[in-house]
Amino acid sequence: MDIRTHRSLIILFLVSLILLFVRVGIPETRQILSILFFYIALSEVFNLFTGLTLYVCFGYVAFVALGMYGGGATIKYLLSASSPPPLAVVLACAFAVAGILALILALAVGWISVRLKGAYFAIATIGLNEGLKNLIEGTGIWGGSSGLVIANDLIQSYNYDTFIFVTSELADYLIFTVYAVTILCIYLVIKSRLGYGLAALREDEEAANVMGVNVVRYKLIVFVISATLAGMLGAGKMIKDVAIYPPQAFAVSYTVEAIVISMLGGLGTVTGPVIGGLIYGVLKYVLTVSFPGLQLLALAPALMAMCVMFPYGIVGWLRRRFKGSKIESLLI
Amino acid sequence: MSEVVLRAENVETGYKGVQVLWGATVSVGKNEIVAVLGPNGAGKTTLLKAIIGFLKVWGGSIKFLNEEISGLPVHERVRKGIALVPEGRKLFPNMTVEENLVMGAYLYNIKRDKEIQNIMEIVYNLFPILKERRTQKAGTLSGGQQQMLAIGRALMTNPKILLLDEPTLGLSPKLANEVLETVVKLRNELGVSVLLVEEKVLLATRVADRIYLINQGRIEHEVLKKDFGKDELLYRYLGL
Ligand SMILES: Nc1ncnc2c1ncn2[C@@H]1O[C@H](COP(=O)(O)OP(=O)(O)OP(=O)(O)O)[C@@H](O)[C@H]1O
Ligand SMILES: [Mg+2]
Repeated sequence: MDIRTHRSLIILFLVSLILLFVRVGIPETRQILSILFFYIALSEVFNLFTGLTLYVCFGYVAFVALGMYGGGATIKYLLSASSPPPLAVVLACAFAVAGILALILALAVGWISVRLKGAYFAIATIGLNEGLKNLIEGTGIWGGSSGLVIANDLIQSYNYDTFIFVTSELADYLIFTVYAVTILCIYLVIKSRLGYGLAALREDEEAANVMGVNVVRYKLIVFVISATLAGMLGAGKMIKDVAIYPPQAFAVSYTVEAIVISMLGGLGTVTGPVIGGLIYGVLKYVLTVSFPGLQLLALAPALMAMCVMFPYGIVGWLRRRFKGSKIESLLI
Repeated sequence: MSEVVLRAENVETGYKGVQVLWGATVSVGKNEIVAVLGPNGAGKTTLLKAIIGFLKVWGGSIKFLNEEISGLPVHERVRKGIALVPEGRKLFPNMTVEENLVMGAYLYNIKRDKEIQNIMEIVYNLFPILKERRTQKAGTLSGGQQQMLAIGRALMTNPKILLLDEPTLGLSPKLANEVLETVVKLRNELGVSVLLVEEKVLLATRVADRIYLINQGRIEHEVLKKDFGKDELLYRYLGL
């Protein structure tokens, strides 16, 4: 295999890695950057499905929350044993369970809903969040409306220093790992036959179908991969937050930020969420400093202006600007 | 008629409970160009949608090379050798001419470049204008060029039968003629059978070997080529 053919992916990975270590190296940026990184990762996950199919899914809150609950419950369960297993095993199980639960939910929901046309699909996925929230609060599983907290379990099973390390360092590395896997997935999908079929599907679904593309299966495949990664991202978030309460867990707002970031950066691109995320982060920070308290009021028009200026996202704009040059080939 | 490639028999179907086709029967032989003529809303597009599989049939059967296909999803029918050029062409407007054609060859393993190049060469020979315009965005082609691209793209799936839904719609008489001439040419050169839906009766009589007249979801009449000049009902259609 020639490494040079994958140069663009490797550069993106290195840039992301630098960001990760800026976060570690400069303590003041830690909080902001790790939150931003979670958004970028979620935005990549979102892009893997919505960016590649143009089917808008509002269900990511549910997949992330399910991952948080599944991961948290797994950790709680394993740590309740008289002699808890090693930390690595506990965390690996948490991620596995989170991913599997999200996968099952995505298969069940997707099996029916990817057959729906765009708008109906979006509507169907909105119900997912409320449905899961009501299920958890109504049946009282996973702590019901009082939430699920794993802080004490971690502190008692290991020790306080480990707890601090896990929640403030390791969690970010784990989220980064899910992020890295996600960009690898998008990259591989785009370069594959599947990505080809999806490109046709994006332009015209019926036309893609008469070219022999199995549209239902293709949508389902990326939907399930994307949801599974969202669930694992949830496990990472749970390890970071060490607690989940239904009202916050199912608040749509943070998935909206992920959607904004991927649209700003460029739907269906690998680099889009990173570029979009950084710009969004800086913009939000600058606006918060210059219009304290009014930042959201200023953010909305700023974002709208950018969407008008860059209808295909910043990456789309850059690709046109540098058409034919080396830079274009880096903007995967 | 020689070997039958496609036979749709007593097809009944429609949309959300509203029946449109009431037992339509058409068949297409090997190397044959068969036209389906009828007024707006007669069910011509609906018939093609049932054959390709966008619509499930409620009754009747669809046989392709003697195999029942009415239960198969669209992409599998395409794989078996049925290609549809839909009403309104449905190109990928933001892709170039060549990218549209490559998409048409999606069925093949994309790595096997050679195979794709071969088919593409055949399509380019049939439509030299496409070769000239191969880096142009499909959305910026003229109407006639777009129609040719739509047909070319369908040919990339290497079909045994081509379903054409009003390929001359919106074209000038000269361009319409040109498009239909290439339909004859591709039948002669590639041996592809054609089921052609048309509203322009005169044009259809020029290229078809056989004509079905469809009205209100029923095939009312079948006219053989030798009777094109004297068939009463066809004459009435001409007056439409
Ligand atoms: N998607 C749809 N939903 C409901 N009814 C439909 C749909 N498409 C077509 N119809 C109805 O089915 C009937 C047949 O339509 P069809 O499109 O097959 O006609 P056509 O012969 O192709 O006409 P035209 O020459 O105008 O293309 C019409 O009465 C039409 O209103
Ligand atoms: Mg029609």
